Amino acid sequence: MTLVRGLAQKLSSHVVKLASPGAKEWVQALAREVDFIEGDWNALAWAFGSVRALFGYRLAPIRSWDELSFTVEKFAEQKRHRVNDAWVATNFGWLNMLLGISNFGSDLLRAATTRNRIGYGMAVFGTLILTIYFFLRRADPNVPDRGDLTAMTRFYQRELWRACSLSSPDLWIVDLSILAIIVGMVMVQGPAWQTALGIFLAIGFGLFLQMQRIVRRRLEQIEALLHGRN
Amino acid sequence: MKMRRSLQTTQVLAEFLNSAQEWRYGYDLSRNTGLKSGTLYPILMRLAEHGLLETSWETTEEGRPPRHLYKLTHAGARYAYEQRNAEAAKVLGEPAWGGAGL
Repeated sequence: MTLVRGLAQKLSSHVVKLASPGAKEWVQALAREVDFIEGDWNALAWAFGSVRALFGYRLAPIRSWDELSFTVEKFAEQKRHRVNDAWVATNFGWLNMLLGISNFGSDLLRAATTRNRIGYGMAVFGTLILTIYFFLRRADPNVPDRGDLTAMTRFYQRELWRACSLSSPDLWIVDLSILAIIVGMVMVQGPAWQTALGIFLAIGFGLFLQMQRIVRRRLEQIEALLHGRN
Repeated sequence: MKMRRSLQTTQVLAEFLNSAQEWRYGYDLSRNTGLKSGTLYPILMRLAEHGLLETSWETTEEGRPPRHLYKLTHAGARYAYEQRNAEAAKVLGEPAWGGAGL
């Protein structure tokens, strides 16, 4: 197997690991096809397409009232399931962060230089804020009732806004905490890791801007539909 | 019908109609329609979500990973025919010379 095809397979299997339960079957389907694609570069392009497929599926434009009602009903249903049935999914965030605090905390206690103490301190601070945030957000009881389309639409808009609007406190809390962890890690690592983390940060920032653009457009589409209906 | 009509969706449906009774692989659909995986799969996912597409995992001999297969449901085939007829009617309705000002 060539390096390029190996890379395509690695990328595909990584996307399978990251996919949400609802999209997993489809991402697995994409990954299985990699073996059958003629040409290594085509296989790599296919694997990159699986990332795009996930984003494209989740945030496709909403152009009609039917599409809007379908999307908001699905979103509300997922939230209801998450709150009522999926204990692991609901609590995974803050428990994972708690683990991060213990790891970074023990590194902080062992840190010998000022630079390392500041670096691990920033990482502990970032994970602590995220732990509190995820703990407080672990259950959202305000999912509207089935059938109340207007309330579900407002709920969906609010959740999108909260996750992606620059004027949302949630966005700043999460992003600044992640930034604190990354900067802290950059401070304590060697030059090779610093470069890798720098690239990671740049890619993350690019994805963040892209998400901002998509979500802003989606919110505008929803507003336009609601406006047209009234 | 809740499905969004787009040129790409119409292309995929037309491709399914070429062999409506057969199960199809994603890669074959991609090759025949010229659509990249990042465009094709969201369409397949939406078709399945709306009950227009049936999916299945291929049963293979031991050691070989199965592949995902796709086939239009009855509702999907009906929808695909409607789309094809609508497209044909649109083409026939447009004068070949463009029609503007005549």
